[in-house]
Amino acid sequence: MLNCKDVVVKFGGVRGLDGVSLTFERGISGLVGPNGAGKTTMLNVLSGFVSPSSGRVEFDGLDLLSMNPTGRARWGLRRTFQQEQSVDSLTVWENLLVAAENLGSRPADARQIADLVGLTELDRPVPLLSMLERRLLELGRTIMGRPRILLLDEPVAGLPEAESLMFAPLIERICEEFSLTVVLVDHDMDFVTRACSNIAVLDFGRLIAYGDCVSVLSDPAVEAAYLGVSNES
Amino acid sequence: MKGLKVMWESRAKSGLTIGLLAGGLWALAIPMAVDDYWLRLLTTSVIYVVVAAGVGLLFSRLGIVSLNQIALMGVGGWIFLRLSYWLDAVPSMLIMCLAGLATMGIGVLIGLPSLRLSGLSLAVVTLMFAAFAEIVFTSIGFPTGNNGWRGEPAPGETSVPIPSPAFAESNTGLWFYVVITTTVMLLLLWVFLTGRWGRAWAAIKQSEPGAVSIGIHVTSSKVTALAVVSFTTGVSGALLAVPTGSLVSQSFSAISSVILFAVVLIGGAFSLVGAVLAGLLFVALPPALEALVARIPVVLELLGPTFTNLIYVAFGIGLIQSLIASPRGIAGDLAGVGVRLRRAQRWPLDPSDAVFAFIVLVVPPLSLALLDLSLAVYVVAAIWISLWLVHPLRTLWPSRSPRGIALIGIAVGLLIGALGFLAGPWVCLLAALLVVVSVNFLRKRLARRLVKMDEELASEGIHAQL
Repeated sequence: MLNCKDVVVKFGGVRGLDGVSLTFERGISGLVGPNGAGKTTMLNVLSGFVSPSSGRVEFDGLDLLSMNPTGRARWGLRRTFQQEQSVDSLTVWENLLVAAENLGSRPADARQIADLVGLTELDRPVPLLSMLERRLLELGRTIMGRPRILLLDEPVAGLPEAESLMFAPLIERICEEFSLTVVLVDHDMDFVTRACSNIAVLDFGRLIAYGDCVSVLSDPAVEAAYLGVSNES
Repeated sequence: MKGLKVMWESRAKSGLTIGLLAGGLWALAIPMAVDDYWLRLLTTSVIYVVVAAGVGLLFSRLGIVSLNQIALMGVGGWIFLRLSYWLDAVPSMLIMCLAGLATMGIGVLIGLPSLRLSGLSLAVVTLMFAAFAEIVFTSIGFPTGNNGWRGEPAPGETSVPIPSPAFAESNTGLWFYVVITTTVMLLLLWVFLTGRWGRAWAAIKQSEPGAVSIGIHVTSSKVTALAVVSFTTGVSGALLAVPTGSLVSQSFSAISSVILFAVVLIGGAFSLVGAVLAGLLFVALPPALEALVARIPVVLELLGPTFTNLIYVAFGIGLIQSLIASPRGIAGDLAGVGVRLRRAQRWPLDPSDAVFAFIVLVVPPLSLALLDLSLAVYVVAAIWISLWLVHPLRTLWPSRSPRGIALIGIAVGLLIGALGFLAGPWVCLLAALLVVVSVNFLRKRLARRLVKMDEELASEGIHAQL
C-alpha cells in the first residue's frame, strides 16, 4: 500500500502540490487531471526527483523519503517518463542489459522480460525502433529485478489509439505477475478507464476526487475541472 | 566471467579483431617505411592517442568537456620521472602504472566539479586547472636525476637526465614498446566502454533522470570514468618521459589541451579509431604541414616566419567542417568502411567483402613498406579517399548501383593520388580536403531537404485527414 500524507511541494510562490493525501492500493490506479494539475510532480515526489516541503510517503510502513532516487529504483520503485528514456546509442538488448545490471537482475532475466513485453530482434539500434517498440522497451527496463511500485507517466503518449489500447492488458499482466502497485498518469481517458480500477483526480495541486472510475468521472467537481464552470450556471 | 562472455559475444568483438589486425599490420610496416625523424614523431603521436581516447570517452559517453588532459599527462610524466629516480631498481612498466595510479587520484580530485557542473562552466573549470598546472610546471620544472623532491640540480651541479631503459635506445624498439603499451591502455578503455560501465555512461549521457530511474549511480559512474581516463592519461604522460628521461614544461601548455579537444572532435570523439586519427593529427600534422608549406614560396613570402601558425587555421577549418557536417568526425565518416569490414568476417564469406577487407587492411601498409615513400603516400591517399567516398556517395545517390558508386569513388581517389604525384603533396592535400568538405556539405543539404520533404508530407497527411 503506497501511502502519501499531506504532501506539499512549493515552486517559489506556487504550490505544485497542496497537502495531497492519497493511498494507492496494489493494482493499477489512475492519476488524472488537467494540464498543470500536479500529476507529474506527484510522480516526481514518489520517485525522489522532487523533495516535498512537507508530508510523508510510505510503502507498507517503509519511509520512502529517506531513500535517494537511485536507492528507490534499486529497492523497487520504478518509473517511466513522458519523454521515453531508452538510450539511442545502445541496442535494444544493451538497453535491457544496462537496466538488469543496475537493478540486480541477470542477463537471462533480461531475455525473459524482452519476451514478456514482446520485444524481438534485440540487436537492433534504438533509433530504428517504432514508437510502440520504444515504449515497450522502456516498460521492459522498469520491471527488471524485483519491482514493487511502477509509476507510468503517459506511457502511451504519441501512440495511435489501436496501439495504446493494446498497452492496457500488458500493464495488467505485468501488474499481476509482479504483484505491483501501479500509478498510471495519462490524458487518454479511454485508456485510463480501461486499465485502472481506481482514479485520483488532481486540480491545481489539490486532490478533488478519488474512487472507482464510474463515480469519479460523474463527479461534478471533476467535470468542472475538465470542462470549466459556466458563469451562467 | 559471464559478463566477459556476453561482451565477447557482442558486436564489438569483430571491431576489436579488425582494429588489432589493422593496427598490427600498420605497426609492423611503419618502422620499415619511414626515416628516424618520422618514426620518433609517429611514436609521440601514438602516445597522444591514449590521451585523445580519454578526452573522447569523457565527451562522447558523459558529455564532459575536459580541457585539462594534457596537464594531467604532465602530472603523470612528473610523477614518473621522480619515481624513476627513487625506485631505480623497479621495472619502468611498474613505475608507469604507479604514476598512472597517482594521476588517477589527482584526476578524480580535480574532476569532482564535473559531478555538479556541466557544459561551458565545467569546460572553464578544467581549463583553469590546465592554466594552473602550466604555471606550476613552468615554475618548478620537471625533475631530473638529481636529489631533492623536485630533482633540481644544486648550484654548480649539472642536470642529469633519468637513464632511459635499454629498449628505448633504438627508435624501432621504442616504437614497439610505445605501440604495445598504448594498445594495452586502449584495450583497458575498450573493456570499460563495451562493458557494464560503458552502458551506464551511455545512459547517463542520454538522460541523467533516465539513468537514475534504472538504478544507475550517476556519481560513482562519473568518478569511475574520470579515474580510468586519468589513469591512462597518466601512463601516457609517463610514456612521453621514457625516451629522453626528461620533460619540458612547454609540452604541457593549457592551450594544447584546448587544441587536443578540437582535434578529437575532428578525428571523431565517439570511437577509438577517432582517437587514433586525433593522435596523428595532433602531433604529426603540424610538422607535416610545415614541411609542405615550406616548399611553397608564395606562402612563405606572404606569411614570413609565422607560416607555422597555419596549422591553427587548418584545425579551425577542420573543426567547423566537423561541427557542421560531420558530428561523428572522420572516424564516423569511415564507419561505412567498418561495416563492410565487419561483414567480411562472417561466414559464408562474401568475396567482394573479402577483397575489400584485403585492400583496406593489407595494401596501405604493404605499399608503405615496399614502395618508395613519396609514391606510397599517394597510393594510400587514393585508396582512402576511394573508400571514404563509398558511404557518403551512397546516401547522396541512392539510386546508383553499388558497383557504380565504387567506380566513381575509385576514379576520384585515383585522380587525387595522380594529382599529388604530378603536382606535389600540397595539391593532393588541398584536393582531398576540397572533396571531403564539399561532399559533406552536399550530404548536409540533402539531409535538410529530406527533413523538409518529410514535414511537407506529414502536413499534407494531416490536411487530408482534416
